[in-house]
Amino acid sequence: MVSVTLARRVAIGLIAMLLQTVAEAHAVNDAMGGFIAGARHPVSGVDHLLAMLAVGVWGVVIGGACVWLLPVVFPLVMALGAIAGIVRLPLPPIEFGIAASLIALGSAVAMTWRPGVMLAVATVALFAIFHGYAHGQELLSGTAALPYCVGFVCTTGLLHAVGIAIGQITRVPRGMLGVRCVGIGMATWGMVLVVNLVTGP
Amino acid sequence: MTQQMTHSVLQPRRAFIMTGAIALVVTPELATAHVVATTSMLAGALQPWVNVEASLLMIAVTIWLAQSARGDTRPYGVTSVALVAGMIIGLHSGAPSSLWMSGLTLCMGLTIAAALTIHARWRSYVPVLPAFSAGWWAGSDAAAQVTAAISFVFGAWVGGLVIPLLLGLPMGDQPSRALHISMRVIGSWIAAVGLIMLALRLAQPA
Repeated sequence: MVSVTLARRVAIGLIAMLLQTVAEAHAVNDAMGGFIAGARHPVSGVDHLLAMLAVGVWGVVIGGACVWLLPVVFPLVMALGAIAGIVRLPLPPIEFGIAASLIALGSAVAMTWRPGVMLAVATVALFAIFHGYAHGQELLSGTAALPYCVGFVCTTGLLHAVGIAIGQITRVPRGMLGVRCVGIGMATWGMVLVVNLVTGP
Repeated sequence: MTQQMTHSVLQPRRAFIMTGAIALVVTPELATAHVVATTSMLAGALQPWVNVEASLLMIAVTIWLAQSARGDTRPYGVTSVALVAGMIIGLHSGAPSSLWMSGLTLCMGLTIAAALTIHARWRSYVPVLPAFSAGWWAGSDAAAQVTAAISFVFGAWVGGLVIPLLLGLPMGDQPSRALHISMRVIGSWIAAVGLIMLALRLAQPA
């Protein structure tokens, strides 16, 4: 009975999709295209993705105010980095900065390093500039600017939230070991990136 | 006796409904008139929430209301009136400066991220400027398409009152620590977007 109902619903859905006017209602316009492009950017590369997750996980590892302070500071400083990228402010090679962020944040998670709040915020802020710079450079490629910014800021924040959720593993027995392994994986990926950048064309 | 009463009461109603239904079928322009008014009202209610610049400010206002106003419903009423005032101006004049909108978005985002406490006396005044600006921007954006201005503005008032109330009151009612943190984090997102937009506007040649 359930399967028949489900099949009917799927069939109705498929028929509805054939109605062109309905499909056009969800057409991707400039604003939506910009939002999607921005939202995809942080998840389109493993380097950005892992770094955002690392911020959330590290916040949980440190504990206290860092759980929320790091995800609050990161997008604000990332915005400054994005501005630097938009105006093409000369920075050291950002690919190395992004790779370094993975190595540093991954190592911090792997070693369960718990610095003071100010040092943790400063570390995250430093690396946020490189990630923001990369987003800012992409902004010049003609997408709708505001929806693009909203997209990449939202995805970045959601990735931090996923990182915080991953960090909750520390609450279960041997959870810290799992989180350390995650950190080792992140740092290793950062090292692979550095090797690629050095040996690459 | 009761049956007779029911019969006598229902009979004219049925006739009335039938007359109405026939009228709607026979005179489609009557139905069209209602469709125009209803769609204009719906468009007005949603316009401040679908326009990106205005929606950022309205979301910021809603989160601020949830964070600061708690159970006090007066600021919600002030917000909707300010939104409508801005929208009326927007329908009859150009849009406010995008630099102003970006700066206001940044300020609201930072206010939420910092969880600034405002004295109860001033609570009602804080959302006036952002709601007014959001209404102004949204109104000017939609001015060319609006066919029934009164319905549109009435819709904006209803939407500006109901949507923040529906979102803000449950969030502000003894928020959990996770919700409190989430509001601050979203505030930082709004501030980040405002900051980038401000820089973009400043970087643009005049």
